[in-house]
Amino acid sequence: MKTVEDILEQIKNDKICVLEFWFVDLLGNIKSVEIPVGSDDERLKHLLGDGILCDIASLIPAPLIGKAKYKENYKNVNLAPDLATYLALPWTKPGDECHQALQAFIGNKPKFIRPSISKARFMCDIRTTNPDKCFSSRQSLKDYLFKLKASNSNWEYIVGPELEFHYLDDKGCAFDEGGYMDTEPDSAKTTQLREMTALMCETIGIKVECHHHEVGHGQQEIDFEKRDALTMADNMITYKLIARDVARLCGVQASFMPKPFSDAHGNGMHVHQSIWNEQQNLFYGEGRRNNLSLIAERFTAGLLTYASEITAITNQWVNSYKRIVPSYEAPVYIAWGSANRSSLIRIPKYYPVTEQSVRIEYRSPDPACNPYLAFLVMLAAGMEGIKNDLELPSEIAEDIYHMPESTVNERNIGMLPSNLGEALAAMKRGSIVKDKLGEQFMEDFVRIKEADWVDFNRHVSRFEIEEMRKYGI
Amino acid sequence: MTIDTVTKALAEARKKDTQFIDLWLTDIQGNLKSISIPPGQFRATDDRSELLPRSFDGSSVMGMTDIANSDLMAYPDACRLMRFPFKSNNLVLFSGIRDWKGMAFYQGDWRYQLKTKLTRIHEDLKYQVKIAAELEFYLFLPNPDGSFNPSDAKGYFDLATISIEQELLAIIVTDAEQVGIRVNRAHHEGAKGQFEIELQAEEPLTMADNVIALRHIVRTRAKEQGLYASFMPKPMMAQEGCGLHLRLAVFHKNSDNNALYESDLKTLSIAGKSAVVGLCRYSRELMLATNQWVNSYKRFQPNTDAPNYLICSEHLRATSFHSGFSLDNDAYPVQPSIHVTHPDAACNPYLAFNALISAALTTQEPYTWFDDEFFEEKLLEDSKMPKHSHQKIPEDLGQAIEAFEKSELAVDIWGKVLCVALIKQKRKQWHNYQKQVSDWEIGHYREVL
Repeated sequence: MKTVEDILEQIKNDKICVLEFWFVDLLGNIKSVEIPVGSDDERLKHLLGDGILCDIASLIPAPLIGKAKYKENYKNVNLAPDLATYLALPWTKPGDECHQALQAFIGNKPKFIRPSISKARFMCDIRTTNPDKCFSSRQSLKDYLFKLKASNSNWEYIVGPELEFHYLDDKGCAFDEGGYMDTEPDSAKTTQLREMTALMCETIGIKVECHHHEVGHGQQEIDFEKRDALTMADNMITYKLIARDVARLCGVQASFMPKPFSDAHGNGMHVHQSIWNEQQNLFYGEGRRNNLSLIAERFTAGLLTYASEITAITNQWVNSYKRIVPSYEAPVYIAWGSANRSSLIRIPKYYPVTEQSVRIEYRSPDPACNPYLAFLVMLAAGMEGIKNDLELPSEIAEDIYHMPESTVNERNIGMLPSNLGEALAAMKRGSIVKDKLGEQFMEDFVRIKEADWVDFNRHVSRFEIEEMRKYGI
Repeated sequence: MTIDTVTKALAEARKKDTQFIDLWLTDIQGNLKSISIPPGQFRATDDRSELLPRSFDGSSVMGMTDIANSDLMAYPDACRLMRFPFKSNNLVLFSGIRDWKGMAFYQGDWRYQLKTKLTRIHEDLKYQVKIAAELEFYLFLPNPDGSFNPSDAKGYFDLATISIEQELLAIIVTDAEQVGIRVNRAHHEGAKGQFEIELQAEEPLTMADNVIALRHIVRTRAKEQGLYASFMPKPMMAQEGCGLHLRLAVFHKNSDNNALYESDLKTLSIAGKSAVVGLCRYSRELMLATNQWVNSYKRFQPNTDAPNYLICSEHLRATSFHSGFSLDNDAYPVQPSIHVTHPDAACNPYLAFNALISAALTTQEPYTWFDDEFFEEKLLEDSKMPKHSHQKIPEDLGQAIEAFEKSELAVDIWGKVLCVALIKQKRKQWHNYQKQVSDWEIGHYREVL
């Protein structure tokens, strides 16, 4: 554990001028407060140890928050830096290799300043004197992972997400015309952006497994090396930030919208996951079917059982459900298969099989989720499966998109909620989210999201107008 | 000034790379003015008790003096030496104003007035005042056609790590630290292109100087990047305005004991209650000092973050004074304090701070002036609207001028001459504004009436 004094020394060594306290709001949007280092060490120690008081009430959509609520819950909460997440941002440090690479990348685009003030960031937790009343997604995940470790002899939840996103131009059109794994010259414009982003991630210790062009025009994928869930969630937030910023340098938008175009592939965030005990992968069952241990099977069964309840968290936007439609490799059916990309959970096949590589892939989350909450609820669903000794249903090996409806019913294959309203209803009916995230979260989240859903339902879409016109109604 | 400070200032000015010494002062509206003198002209009296002054035309600095008494002298204040990183060859000093005989020119030196007020409070009341401030501003991007757009589309606390605005913010706070402005923190504000910089608590005079210097840094650095920084109280109709939120803390002389609160730091002391009552009672008539522009009063619209009533509560945003019961280290290291939200970012801080400090500390309002209910939280329901009309914020500059004209306290604080000069200026502006035919009128009436 790093102490405040250690960090103070590190700040001095790295010649940091400005600290950034990063945190996320309820929906996973990144926020920051800038704090100059200054010369007053006492003040700095105080800030690092106790955090800063912040009025985050404005982070909650204003009309949705009553006056009484405001004062009790969200005024003056404590933003406390997690010292373990100290990171000197290399692209802000003149002379650093990453800084030079970024300089070269910015070139002589007149609109951008060369970073000249060296900065470091912390990920922050939100604390309050009244912890039941104010909710912090990072703190919740941290607490839950800690509990998992404590009650199950050092179990650790290890995740490896695949993040998909689009590069869009200023009119919202795809920025290139490449397809799956295309490379230059078809995708020259976006490859450059993707590479720069990955390069910057590597320099701050976000290990990238691979990145490539995806199926859709302008669509990209980046896969991360597996990590513990908290670090990974921090990394996802950081990656999205860098991807957006690098793209903006070129006047391009990096969009993590779940489904930007009706008739093209959406953006998913498939999450490979397993549970480890120190160096041992508990999902590995030598000689068993698919090399999955009993723990892994029960975890999978848990995810399948509670999939509908957690979908409002893993897929939190109105637009998320435009992605969850048959075809485009999106998960619709609550089933598992070993190489089947039409199912919700896939057991990846690969060679050679090693203990390291055994895992399951949960395919419903999208990159616009709050990763802290998404990891938390997936883990909670899986752990529920282990706790209750749930049986894994039989594998679905066929393409479910093209399965006759009668067969789907016969084999008892359920479907994920088909819109945000259904997902919220399923979440409220269930117990997983309420148990793990608490009443206050449910209240705030449901209020914000139901308002979204009501708004959307009132909206008269172009589709409706054109349809009515077509029929002369 | 001591011999030491004067000697230090001279030594600093004699450094090889110094090109000019800039003497800073402000006009009555708080706009920065500067006279540059070469290092050779920068000298001290023989006994080194003072730096020698520079004469200037006081009648050309708005509100300072009339044309018949225009010769004034700017006396450099050696206590604070600044070199701005973007113009490090110039040494900058604030200055005091005196008449040509070297006598204090009280009526035209708002900085000196604040200074004497603080000395008096220190000596008579044995209090030491500290103020922490939050300065809000917008960054605008000029369009080729001359119009302006907010420079980004982000919101409250939002972050973009490699962006012109974020970098600018870092540069500004680093510059500020270098000239001795201690910054607590900075972040994106709620509106597009809007930012906030929070300064650590200082003596009011230092804080007023800080506000002037910080506005200068922000403007200069933004301009370097082709952006335009604006402290206008309400630059866009549908977006939040720019306030200068202040946290007022009072200590017993030469100690860290909070004078506004009981020793449990939870309940207001008698002096604290009296200060709150004083602020509520007198702030309206002094609003010309804290909110001096036609545009200032567009900021106080219902359903915004700006206050509507000059009343005190523990929590409600819509009131001007928050008695900070639970603010802890928010304005580290001065807590707890009284949070004042009505002044705007385009005020003259020397006038504004003097107004607030005077209302809070020198009026000695007996706190029984209000019933006990006053100190309990009030919801803004019609039935509980403040009974006293002077607690409603003026609807426009005209009303503020009227209230100011009737104020005896204002004359007490600044003297008759300054008050008349200020009223004259403001009347002119209000009159000019009133005769405008606005786009709103044209849009609503031309074709209808």
